[in-house]
Amino acid sequence: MRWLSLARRNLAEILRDPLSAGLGAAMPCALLTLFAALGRSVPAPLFRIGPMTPAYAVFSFAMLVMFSAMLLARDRSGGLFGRLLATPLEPRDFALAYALPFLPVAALQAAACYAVGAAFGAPLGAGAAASAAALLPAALGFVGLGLCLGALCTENQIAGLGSALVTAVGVFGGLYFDPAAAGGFFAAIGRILPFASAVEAARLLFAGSCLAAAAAPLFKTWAFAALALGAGVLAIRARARR
Amino acid sequence: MEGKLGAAVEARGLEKSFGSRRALRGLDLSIPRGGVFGILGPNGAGKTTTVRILAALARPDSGSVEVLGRDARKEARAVRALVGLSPQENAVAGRLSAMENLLLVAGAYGLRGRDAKVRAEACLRALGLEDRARDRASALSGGLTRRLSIAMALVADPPLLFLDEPSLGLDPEARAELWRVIASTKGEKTVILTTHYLEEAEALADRVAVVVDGKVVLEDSPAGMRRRAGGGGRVRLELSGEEEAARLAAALAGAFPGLRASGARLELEGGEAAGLALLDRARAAGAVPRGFSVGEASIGEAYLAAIGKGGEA
Repeated sequence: MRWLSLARRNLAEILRDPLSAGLGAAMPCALLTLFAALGRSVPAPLFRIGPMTPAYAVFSFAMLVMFSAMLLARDRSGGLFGRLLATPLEPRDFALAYALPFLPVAALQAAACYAVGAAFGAPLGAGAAASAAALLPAALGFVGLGLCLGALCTENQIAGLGSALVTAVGVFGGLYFDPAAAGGFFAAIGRILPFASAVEAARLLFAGSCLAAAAAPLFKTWAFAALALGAGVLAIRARARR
Repeated sequence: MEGKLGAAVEARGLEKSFGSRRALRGLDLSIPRGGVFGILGPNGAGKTTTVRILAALARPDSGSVEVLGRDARKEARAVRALVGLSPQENAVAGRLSAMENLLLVAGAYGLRGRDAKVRAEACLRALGLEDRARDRASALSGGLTRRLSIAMALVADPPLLFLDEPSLGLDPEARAELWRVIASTKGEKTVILTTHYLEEAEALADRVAVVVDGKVVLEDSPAGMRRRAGGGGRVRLELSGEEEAARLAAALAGAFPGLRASGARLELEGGEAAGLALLDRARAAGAVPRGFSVGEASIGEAYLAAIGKGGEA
């Protein structure tokens, strides 16, 4: 449990920068508000508030890529990361210490999206709680991607790559259109990437489906989270050996 | 008991390359316990790579390294638990207070609760930071931040301490204060110090190694280095200009082997008698000396000579 002190510090660092965490919730909420208002004028299935709400909760997690990457990259450039590498902390300790403090942020982001959804008439029942709980591991997956970027890239590179990743989540997660319906390249990439699965699992659970009905996309989402965190550990190990 | 078991660090034949660049070329080091050991060398000589390997932060491509009796290659985590490192840059968490920074590092070593707090308070006192415990690290001056950095290296009470350029960028007053702190650890801890400041190594180190091109080209005590540089004495005769110095060096070379001109100065290894003889002969040759001194050679001269040898090797 040597990682706890670093996790506490990282949580403090996140809390001392409420603007970033606030933006991470505000941007998806603003988009959700925009499309929900649009849905009132244009009654397309894509703009129905029920499916949109959990999808934007998942989208909000994509912001964690940038936050976690920047936190780690700043510690690298400031030398703190290098100093801590000289302690008995192992790469997996670093991954836990940088990832777990983002769980409360993810919960806050999901709650904000659900609150906006509720304001536009989305039903907030047991399904909402179930989808939020089941998808928090997906948030850790995004943090894992952030750790990869933070360990291996500069702050400038992170800004570019992180923005591209957030856009990819929006496009291939099915927020703006259904990649499967688009077919071809979009469908193929959408099937490979885990974002659409996370959105699908969130929508199913939010709508009140049982866990078994959402098992396949949920499994893919959790597997993504585990792989991304594992990649984060490997990236930190690679950085430590340089 | 001295010997291998008594050594803090035993490194043999360390090799390390980064791509096509060879950072270490068979570096050997034996560092006794309980003293301050200085590692000197020009930029790119391999000092930082050496420290990273000794602190189990990097693995050598070949060679062996034992730190406090443990194999740094096979037991890296155990070695890291025994060492504290103060890196060259002020590696502190700027938004945390001084006390929080210490607790952060203490936690990484497994210290928690009251034990961690007691150690942190002791380090703050030792480094003269007790009044700044609640201040954010980013609000501390350069000197105080450097002291905090060293306190962070000390907080887990490691028996071996690595200080990488500890006084870099400090004003003379802050440097003197830092030297006092480092000197106070003598006997209790083994301190391995890398520095560009020769006077720092001379003031603090019991032994010094000069690293050039990835290997140790000289290892000795500061007194031994001074002896190497000038056999215990060096005569300096200040003249009116470089031309006069060059003229006299040529004219008196037969009478004073080893006499050389250095700018507007003549230099000769030797004591007072040799110095007075040189002064007489210079005056007889028409020179009007502007200054004359007989003093101990500095380790800087031995260092420069070592670098020259290293370059030829």
